[in-house]
Amino acid sequence: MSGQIGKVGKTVAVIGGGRWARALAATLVKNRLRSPHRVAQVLHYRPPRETAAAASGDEPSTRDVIPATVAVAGVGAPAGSDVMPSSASSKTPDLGIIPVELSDLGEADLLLLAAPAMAVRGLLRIASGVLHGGQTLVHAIGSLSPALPDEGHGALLISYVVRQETPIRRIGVLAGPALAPDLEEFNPSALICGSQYADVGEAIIQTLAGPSLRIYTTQDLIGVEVARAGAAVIALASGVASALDLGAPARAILITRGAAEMARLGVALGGNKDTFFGLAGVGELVVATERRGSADFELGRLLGLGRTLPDALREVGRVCDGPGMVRVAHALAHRFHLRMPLVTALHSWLAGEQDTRTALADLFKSDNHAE
Amino acid sequence: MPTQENRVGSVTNYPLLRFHRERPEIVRETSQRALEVALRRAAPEYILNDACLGEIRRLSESAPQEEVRALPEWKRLWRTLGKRPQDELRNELAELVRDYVEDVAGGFNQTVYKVASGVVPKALALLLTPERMGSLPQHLLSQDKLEELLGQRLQVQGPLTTLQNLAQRATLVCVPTHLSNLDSPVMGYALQAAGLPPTTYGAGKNLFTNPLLGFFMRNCGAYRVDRRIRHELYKDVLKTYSQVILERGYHSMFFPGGTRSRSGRVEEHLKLGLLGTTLTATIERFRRQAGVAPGAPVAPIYIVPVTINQQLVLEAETLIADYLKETGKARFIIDDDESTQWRRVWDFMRSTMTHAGAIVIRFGQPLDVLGNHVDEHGNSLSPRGQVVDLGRYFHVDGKPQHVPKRDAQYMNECGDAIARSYRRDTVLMATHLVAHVMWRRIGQALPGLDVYRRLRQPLDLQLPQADVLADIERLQGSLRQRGHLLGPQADGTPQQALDAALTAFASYHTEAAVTRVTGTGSDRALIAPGDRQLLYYYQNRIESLAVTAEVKP
Repeated sequence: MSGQIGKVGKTVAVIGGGRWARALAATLVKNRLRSPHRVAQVLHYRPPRETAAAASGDEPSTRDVIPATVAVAGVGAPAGSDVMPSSASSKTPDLGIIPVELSDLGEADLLLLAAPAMAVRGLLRIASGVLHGGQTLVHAIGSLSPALPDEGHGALLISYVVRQETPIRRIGVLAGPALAPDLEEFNPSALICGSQYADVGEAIIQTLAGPSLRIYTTQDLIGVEVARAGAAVIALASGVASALDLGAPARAILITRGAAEMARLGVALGGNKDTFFGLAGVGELVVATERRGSADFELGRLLGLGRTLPDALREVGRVCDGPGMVRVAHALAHRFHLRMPLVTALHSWLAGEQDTRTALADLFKSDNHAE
Repeated sequence: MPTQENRVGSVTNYPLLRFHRERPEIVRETSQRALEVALRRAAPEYILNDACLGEIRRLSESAPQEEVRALPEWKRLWRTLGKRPQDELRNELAELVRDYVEDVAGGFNQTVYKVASGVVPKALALLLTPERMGSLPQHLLSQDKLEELLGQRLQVQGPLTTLQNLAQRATLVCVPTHLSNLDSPVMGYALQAAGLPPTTYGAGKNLFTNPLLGFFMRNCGAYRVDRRIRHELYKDVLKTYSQVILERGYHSMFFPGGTRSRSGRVEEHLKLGLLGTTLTATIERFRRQAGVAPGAPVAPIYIVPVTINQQLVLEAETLIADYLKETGKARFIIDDDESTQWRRVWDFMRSTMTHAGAIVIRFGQPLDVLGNHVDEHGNSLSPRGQVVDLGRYFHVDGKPQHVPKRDAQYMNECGDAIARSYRRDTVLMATHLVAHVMWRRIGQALPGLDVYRRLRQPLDLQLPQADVLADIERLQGSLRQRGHLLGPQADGTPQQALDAALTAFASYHTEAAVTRVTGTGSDRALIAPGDRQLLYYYQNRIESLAVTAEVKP
């Protein structure tokens, strides 16, 4: 640990009501119990439904795909852990998680943001009055944020929205193969933190790393953000493949070609190609492509079984980043003249331009291609 | 445009007035702190070794010009490095640092400044406007007339009232774009015309070799930067000097492009070395405020991006020729260009001073050291316009601290903010418009060729004036639509823009970049490219703005 970055434990606030947010909080609490000089306090802010609804009101373009009511629906997943009881939102500061209000967020040194992408702008805008430049914000959001209407294009990196809406400069992103149950059950796993500020990665190591969780750091903020958002697309495609029993080769294709596609997109947006073949890229894809139970995978599976998009979304009942990300990636591919056959096939299929069989044929057909 | 009416009389009370008195103290403080900075990096023998080797190599390869140590001295020092005790080496290092600081430190003489800033430009204005010679006595008497005349030639724009107010209680650091060696005198005039105090600034040592120019520069607040010296110790000295004078509240000026733009493009990648001293001095300010560090209070520091927009550039021919040389052969320091030839400077001045709107100096919105916008009260603003507490950005465990890695990234973001400001505030002149239109036509006439071939391939291109005018109109439209600023004649009718550009091109350069082939005014007039390198140079100004990062954060 660098001696320069904080000699006293950090106050960390987790923002978000979902399972991922609770898993991060559980990890922090465990570290606080182990070494209070690393984590002094764990705060938890659960945004109310209204915040998300108000925020998505700003961005009508996405409402047709993901109903606002789904956006922050409580995560009904079983609490697979004895460390993290389901009463995270109760007022008792059990195990040291302190439930806080939005106005208390200024107290935190480090903010971990795990709210739905669509809710982020509204949430930050309301919070911006209490947030300040001494804070570090790291998000763990696997999607892009819808752009404002006057910005003229489809989506923005979450880090950019944080810059637009808050005074915070030290911004990072968490990605990697770790899943909420892994964190909750302390299975060995790893995350990568991307930030142009070296001290952001150091703060994440200080607060989150532990015997069962390794933290890697990189300066490639944009690459990690795009890789993480891209994983939702591949998860969706994997769900479809799973519904159709396509097997291991299909999965291998999705991982390698998916990583290559997202790398092209990431480089166009200013990221580093290598990131997409590391923990944040292929690392996350290996998990995403066999992650039965993840929202996007389930959505893909239901779609693969022939459900309509609205039906499938209702049935999944959780935030699905995949469809929105497919649309965004497709628009960006067009704009930067990128070859993204997977995204293109998914897009025309989701838009109803093709039936499952044709889209599938397209998905795996593609031109033979020299790299 | 918010320009002339904002002018106030001369600023009468400004920090540089006390420079002469404080100079010995500044030299002492800089020497001591630069030595500390260097010693934090390495032991004396390593620092001296690095300096000796660098200087021995440089002086063996090139002719010496007024050096702090001559080649034999460096050699002698280097040979004895391993044999001498630590304290002796430390003294040797301290002495070297002090000599460097003395060499760098500028001067300021109010009388000389008044002569330079008052009499010289006015005399030039008179001499260079022959049509006014008839009424010479009247003009000599009328200060207003002279200022009006100069004001027509050199327009000053921007949020001047805000800047004037900020200058009263803060330290301003002007960071102009850089095209020409005339930029520092032009900025000297612009500051005065804007009602802003004079600044200290670093100028290449090669500019001091001319005794007359050197005398004026030295006494008008310039300090000397020897860009040929590349070793770390010298950089420590420069940065410390800059930081010390900023902490002491001297308004400063840096050219963050590092050197004149060779291509004519607006600077995109900035040198953050000296600029970084604004950040370190600001953190020092908060540390002293919080009682973490000792020392006198430091005033807030604001960065003011400035674009200098010229119809013609004095050294255009040399700069673009250098830019187009094979990679690696381009020169970092050019000391034999047009600015060293009095005849060329004279021609240039005459051309500039006889044409209205020849130079537009546009001051941008002030920024704090993190690149946040600043309101008229000096408050830092978030992108949404909320007031933010700058001091908290530097807190570690509740106290303001220097954190080199974090601060380097803060500086990168400040550099990005300055570059964005440049793009927003670049004023495009008629010569840029016409050159761009012609360059595109050349591209059409020589399809599929790279820049180098487009510059050299034989080409017989003559375009009907009407076509060129239509091109100009389209270009004006798309530039306006994208929010770019157009200069005096560039903002007029296409005909006005074309005429202004052709007149300007013909009035100074060895071979005009664009010419009119047949008689003026005629509908059948033909427009032809001339010196294609020059044309490329002037059009680069526009091309560098076309690259807009819309998606990239």
